This record gives sequence, structure tokens and C-alpha cells, in this order.
Amino acid sequence: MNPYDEIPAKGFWRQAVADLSPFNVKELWDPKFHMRWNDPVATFGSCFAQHIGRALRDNKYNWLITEKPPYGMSPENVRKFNYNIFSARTANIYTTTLLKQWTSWALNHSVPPDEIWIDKGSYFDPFRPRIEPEGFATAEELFRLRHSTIRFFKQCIVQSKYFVFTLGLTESWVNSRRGYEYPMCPGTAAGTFDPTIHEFINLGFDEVRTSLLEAIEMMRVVNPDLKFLLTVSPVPLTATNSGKHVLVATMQSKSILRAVAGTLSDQYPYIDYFPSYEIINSPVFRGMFFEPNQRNVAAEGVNFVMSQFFESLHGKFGKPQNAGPAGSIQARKEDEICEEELLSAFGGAR
Amino acid sequence: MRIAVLGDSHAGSLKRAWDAMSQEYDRVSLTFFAQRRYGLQHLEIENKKLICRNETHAKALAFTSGGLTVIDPAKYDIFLLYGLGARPFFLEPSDFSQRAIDVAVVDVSQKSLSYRTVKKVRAICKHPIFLGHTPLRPAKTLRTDDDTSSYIAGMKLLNESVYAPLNCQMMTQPIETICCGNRTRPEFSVGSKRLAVGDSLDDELHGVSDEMHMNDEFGKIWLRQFIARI
Repeated sequence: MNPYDEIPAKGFWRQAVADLSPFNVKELWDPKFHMRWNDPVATFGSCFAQHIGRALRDNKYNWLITEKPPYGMSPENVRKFNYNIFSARTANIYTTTLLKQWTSWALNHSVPPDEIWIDKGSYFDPFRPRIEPEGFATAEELFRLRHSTIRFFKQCIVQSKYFVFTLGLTESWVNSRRGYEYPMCPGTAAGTFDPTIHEFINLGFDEVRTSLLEAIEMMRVVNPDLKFLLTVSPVPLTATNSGKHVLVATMQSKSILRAVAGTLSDQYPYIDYFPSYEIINSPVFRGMFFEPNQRNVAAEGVNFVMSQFFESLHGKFGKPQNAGPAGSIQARKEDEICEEELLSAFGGAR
Repeated sequence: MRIAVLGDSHAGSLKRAWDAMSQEYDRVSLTFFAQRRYGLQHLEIENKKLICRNETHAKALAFTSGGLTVIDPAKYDIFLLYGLGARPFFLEPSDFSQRAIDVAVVDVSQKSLSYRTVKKVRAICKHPIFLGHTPLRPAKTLRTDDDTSSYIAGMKLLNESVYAPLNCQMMTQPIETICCGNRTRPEFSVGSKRLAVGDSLDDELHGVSDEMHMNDEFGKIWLRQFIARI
């Protein structure tokens, strides 16, 4: 008799993986929390987080949207103006340090900077440069609506029961003089790059872990019951400024993010980790969920990930009576809004 | 004042109201050209008139108008387009960019049958065109928040941005029919009836699950306000 005699089949590679079709690999996630259909769930983070919110909505869960589009706006323009992508119009929050920055603004631990970018008469928010398709009409409007989004982001913290965050990147850009972080390198989506001000950073394990934990603890001060569901985006980097090969930089970045997410989930009862990263990236799945560029996740991959999510949830806690049928997730690749992909334009024909 | 009223099923409440109150207005005449659902999408322009070649829909127009199958602008002073998918607009300016609002105002109006019909009417004449939007959904319960400022501001913007350039104006729903800021008072959705077009469903009560159509009393209030304003 030894401990391995007690381990269920999912703990053995042969029974749980090798003997099965990839599509029959199950029990990848043992959810900590009983997410009920009416529990408000906020979603933020990297591009892949967008699919989680939509899948929640399609399966009749309570995806919390605090920043809603104007009355009557068509679905096409709702997307164009970046409504209903995340729970508020923060745009992609790629790094844990950016999450901490937004949280700090929302909870009045710091004041948002007054930096704005102007191009051809339009005003762009450095912290979400693509949020308005043509930029803002005036600086006053930019600041007013950034303030609104920060207020809506705070509502997400206060009103939600679950906060889903998808960790995306470790590489980022900061204003070295004033100490704040940009979601995109200035000069890419908008703005002008100034090498004397704009500094590249590549977060390590400790920085990612510390900043994520600080953001979480800040949120739990105002909402002590808030629980967190972390995921790691399976989408490789579009480009790296680390000097390394982009594949190597991707593996380093994702390994750090995955390690932090798993460590926090193991250590804290109010933090869980959902393995969307593994479902797409594990060799078991043979890269079949990627599109030919080996970067973008195909709709089938998104559907498979989210089916696993709901099957795990329903398998452990039972299916809500009003839930949609498993597999009712209808992801469309063109739906994903990912500013980071703009970086590919700078590669040219190289 | 000769008014041509072009409408869908929502025009039923106005038609029955007008039949009951027309004797009060000896200087106003209303001629209805109405069909349920999207029947009026079959209107076509021919020789500066609107005609309907679809037999079923043409019959409905003849029934509601008292025998006319051609809408000849020479016989009317103004047009009223009622329902036809026209939607109101609500403006909460503080949380939206001006560009987002501008886009939403266009979205809310230009995809409707009402807007397409406006364009057809405008193509055949320069008469003033008035619009009545599909009634606001009825409230399930009355609340105390009766602030209609976002509705009034939204309608003002809609008219300035979309309809005024077409010499056209969307009328606001009478304030006394509105509650909760953006809903129709629930009593006006009780006892609503189908538009009569000459078939077996004429004037049949809508089911209790119907949350779209308003009753004849609503039609009276709407028309009284409309006539008073033109």
C-alpha cells in the first residue's frame, strides 16, 4: 500500500491522457467555487479573456457589464467602440502590473496621469489607445470618459462575486519619469515613442506574483467576499523586445504567468486557476487548436476550452436549470480584439 | 389639414381612436394606409406616387384607407409615419463620447422600415413628414422615478441629427403616457387590439403576453397631442 494506490485515474498519464483521444481528456479542472448562474462575474485581462465573458453570457450566466453601450447602438458599432468586450471599457489588461494600476486608480490609491496623445486632431488615451475607433474629440472628453471607465471598473470590483482575470504578457512599457505603465508601446497603436522616457520592462516571477496579489488584496478590502479565477492566455507573443527569439520569449513569459497563477491558486482559498492555457498549448492537443500561424486560437479551440469550463463546473456542482446546452458556445475568431497584434505590422516583410 | 397616415400594426390604436374622435376635428382629415408587420416595405415609387403591387398588402391599404391603393401626395398636406420599427433615442451624455452617440443615433434610426419609408415619401414630395415611434414598452409596475429627461434629450438629438435634414420630425410620446422615465404606463397596454385590414383577425384583442401594442385610449391621447402640435 502506498499513496499512489489511492490516486484517481486522472492522476495517471496513461489512463488520463495516453489511452484517450485528446477530445476525451476530462477533469482538467476541479473548480473551487460553485459559480451559480446569477452570481455576477466580471472579466478582464488579455485578449483570450474576451471569450470567457461571451461564453458566460451564452450559457446564461450573469456576465457583469457595468459600462454599457449607448442605447440603440448596433452590434457592429458596439464592438467597434469596444463595449461588451470586458466588463468595463479598460481594453486589454495584459499584465498584472497594469491590473494593479487600474485597481489603484479605481480605489483611490493613486491618481490617473494627465498624459494624452494627440494625432490629427483626435485625442488618444495612452492607457487604452484603441478604445475609440477614431480617438476622442477633445481632451476633456478623454479624461471624462476615462474617469467613467475607472468608476465602472470599481463597480465591477464592488458588485461582482467572481473576478476572472486572464494573464497575458510579462513584457511591457513604462514611463520611466513618472512611474506608470502603458498597455501598448508608445508609437505603435498611437502616441510617439521617446527613448528617453519610455522604458521596456520584462516582469519576473516575483514582480508578477507581488503585483497580482497586491491588486487582489486591494479589491478584497472593498469586497471581502470577492473570489478570483485566473487563466493564462495561450496566445503567443506577437513580438518581443527582449532580444530573444519570440518563441523563447513566449515560453519564458507564459511559464512565469502560469507559475504565478498556479502558485496563488495553491496558496489562497479565494483564488482558483482554470487551465485554458494547457488545453490549447499542451502537446497532448498537438497544436490542433491553433490557426496556421500557430498563434491565433481557432474558434474550435475556444469552444473546446469553454466546453471544458462548463462541463467541469456542471460536473462538480450540477447544471443550473436555465443554463444553455453544453457546446452552445459559438466563438468567432474575428470577434477577438487584440491590440497587441498591431505589433506584427512593425515586422514588415522581415 | 389633410394627413396621410402610413403605419403598421401600431397604427391600429390610432385608427380606432380617430374613428371615434374625428367629428371633434372638422378641419383635419386622416387617411390611413396601414398593414400589419412589414407590409409597407412593399411600397414602390411610381410617377411621384407610392403604390403597392403586392396584392395582399394592397388590399390592406385599400381597407384601411377606404378604398385607396395609391398614395398620391397631391391629396395630402402632411405625412405621418407611425410605428414601422421607428425607435426613440435616450441620451445619457456623461458616459459616452460624442462620436459614440452620433453613431448610435444613426444606428437607431436608419435601419428601420420607418426611415426607408421616409426616404420614399421624401423622394416624391416635399411635404412635412412627422414620425411616431413604436410605443415605449409598458412598465410592469409603477415606480417613482419619472424623470424623462434622457428621453426628451435623446429625441431632440435624434431630430437634430437625423430627421431635421429630411424636413422630418419624430414626435415624442405624450408625457402623460410615460412612467419610470422610459416606459409606457401599464394601463395603456391593456385591451389593445389588432389592426383591422379586412380579415378574420380584425380588431381581435392582443394576447396578455403582448408587450408591444397600446390600446385605443393611448391612440386618442397620442393623436390629440399630435394634432395640437402640427
